[in-house]
Amino acid sequence: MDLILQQKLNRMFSPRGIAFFGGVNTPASFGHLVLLSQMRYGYQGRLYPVSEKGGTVAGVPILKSLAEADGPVDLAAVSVPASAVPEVLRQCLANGVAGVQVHSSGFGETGEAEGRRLQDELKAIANQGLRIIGPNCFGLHSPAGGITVLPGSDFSKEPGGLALISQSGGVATDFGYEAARAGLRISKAASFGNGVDVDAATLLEYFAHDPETKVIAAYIEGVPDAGRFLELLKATTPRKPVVVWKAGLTPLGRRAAQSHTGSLAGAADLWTGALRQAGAVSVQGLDEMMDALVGLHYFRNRGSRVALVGGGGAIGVYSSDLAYRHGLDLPAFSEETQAELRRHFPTPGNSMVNPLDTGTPVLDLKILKNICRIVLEREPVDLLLVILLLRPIEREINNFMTMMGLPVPAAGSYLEALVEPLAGLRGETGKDVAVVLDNRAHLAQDIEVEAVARRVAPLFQARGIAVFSDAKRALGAVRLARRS
Amino acid sequence: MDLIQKALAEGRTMLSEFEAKQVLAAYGLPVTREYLVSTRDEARDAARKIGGPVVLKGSDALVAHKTEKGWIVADVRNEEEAVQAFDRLTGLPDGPRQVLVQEMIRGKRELVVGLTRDPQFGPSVMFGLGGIFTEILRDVAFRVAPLTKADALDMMAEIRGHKILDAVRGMPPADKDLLADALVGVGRIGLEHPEVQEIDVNPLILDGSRPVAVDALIVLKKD
Repeated sequence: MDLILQQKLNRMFSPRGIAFFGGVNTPASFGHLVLLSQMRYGYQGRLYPVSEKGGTVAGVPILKSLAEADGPVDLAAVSVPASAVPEVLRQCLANGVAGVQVHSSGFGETGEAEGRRLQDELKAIANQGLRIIGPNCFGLHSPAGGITVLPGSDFSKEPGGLALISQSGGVATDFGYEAARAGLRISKAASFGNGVDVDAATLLEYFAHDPETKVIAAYIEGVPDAGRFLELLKATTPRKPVVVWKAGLTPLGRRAAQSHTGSLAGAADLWTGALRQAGAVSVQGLDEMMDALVGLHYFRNRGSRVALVGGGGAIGVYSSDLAYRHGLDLPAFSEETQAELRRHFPTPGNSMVNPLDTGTPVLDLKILKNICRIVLEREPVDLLLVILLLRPIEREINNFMTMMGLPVPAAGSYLEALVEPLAGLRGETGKDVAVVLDNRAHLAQDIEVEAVARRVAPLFQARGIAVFSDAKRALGAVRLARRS
Repeated sequence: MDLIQKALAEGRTMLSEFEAKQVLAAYGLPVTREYLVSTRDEARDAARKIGGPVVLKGSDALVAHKTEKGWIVADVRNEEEAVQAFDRLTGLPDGPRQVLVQEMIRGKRELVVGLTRDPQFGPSVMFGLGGIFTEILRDVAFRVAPLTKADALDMMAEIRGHKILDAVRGMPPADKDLLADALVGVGRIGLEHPEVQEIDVNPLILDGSRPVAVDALIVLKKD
């Protein structure tokens, strides 16, 4: 890719100084909150709020013009009204700013002549060498660069290998939290809005060449040059997985179709075909996007042979149904394995075939660890999925213990005790392990169960074990991440 | 191709079935053996040369949907029946001046192959289940041209009814290799002939394992 463009984007994602235009004197205005958000996230570079009125904001002196900045400015966050944006950008261009993120709306997205004219003016300024993210966007996030979007002041500060390209600011914000919940760490994220200059294709090319980025996720609504986007995708997917959530339908024009082919060629069908052709993982919705990314991150084997262990026959049956529909394989355990497993069960009647019904959802920990070992060591599967029912584990048993006057185990201790053994088996056998923390507790006093789930999930994730909230999403992740 | 330029020069926006099949055949799509005839003697001659059952279709480059107009006589067994069918078609009010005599393909498996020109992606190829219920079944897959052979094979695996291409009910498996080449070829037509707006090959019938284009439509750009 173009080296100058790449260097400018590098500077924007790891800015030595950030200028802020718009609202810096007006408490709680968007521009003001953008500045506070960067401060709260812990941005380490220099902050240069700019306003002719001067004064200070959150203890930082406000410059009357950008020329007064006493250090390099690599990024500017622009929140002034649309009509004032071109003037601010010319100031940035004159002062050597690498690029800007224009939060302001009122451009091409309005569909009105004035908005389109302003957007064209921005394009003309970009042509003079200023890189523009937006307008009508949330801008850039990079844990390594110490910058975040708004809302996003409490995003994780830990850098990782996941990059996001998002046409929507809201999706970018939700993605930041969902990634943290899934135990995924972000390299860089960009909400690019109208994409007047830096668009989805440019970002895809940049992330494809970004050494920190290992996996790319994209939320797109429309692409001005779908052909170029497709070519870039094709070039990227053999090296880095790309997950694409294409929302909305592209206009097919007013052409009246005269053939069957024309009337059948809905934009959605064409996109589906094109994304498959380019080797991308096509998803619909944020949940499915996260499931695909979780699968790509945690499943080293990316295979489709699953062993399922859990309490309750129905879970096994409906999970089998789901696996079948997803085209996954739940290979029946061998006679020898079944005999070996049966030796560990105190009661008869459980299915030992796969899914393995543990009977009680609170199986003795020693037995549970043993059967996980037997399955992983003996069976030719890619993934062991352990379904854990939190309400019985954390609530039901404790209630009865209390009635019997017996000591109640510490909250989360059952789950915590599984982390190291499962992580150990994952390491020894080279097979992947995932857990479902299925929480049906809903009473107000059961809020602790949810707290346990949130506290324990990162322990599993830190040891390479993916955590899902239900079996359906876990199996969906296997399907989306498997190598075809 | 000359016949596309000729049609455009005549102000037409469509190729006749006979012309369309020549274009498709030039890009590797197997088509029915057929003759375009204008007289009873030619009709008789064509039926004799093809041998076996034939189909007679009224031929007019401006008529896309011949079935609806009653312009098709199927299962014509011999030369005499061919002459009768010729008379019947040409005798219709506003009937055709020319008639296509073509071999009758008897396969039960009907597929569809097409090309559309998307404003975003450009020429895109469609493959799926064909026949008169194509629009109802909507079991089709798309790829953007140019297609690789792997893309074409992938399309065949993608449709819900992909098993129809396997050995089913005593029928042999489809020649996927030939079919894939045909899909790649249709993509090439789109790339090499910007004046081709849409293509419909429906049905493409599996004659044993061999796909044969039985009806075809090529729409040209109006400007």
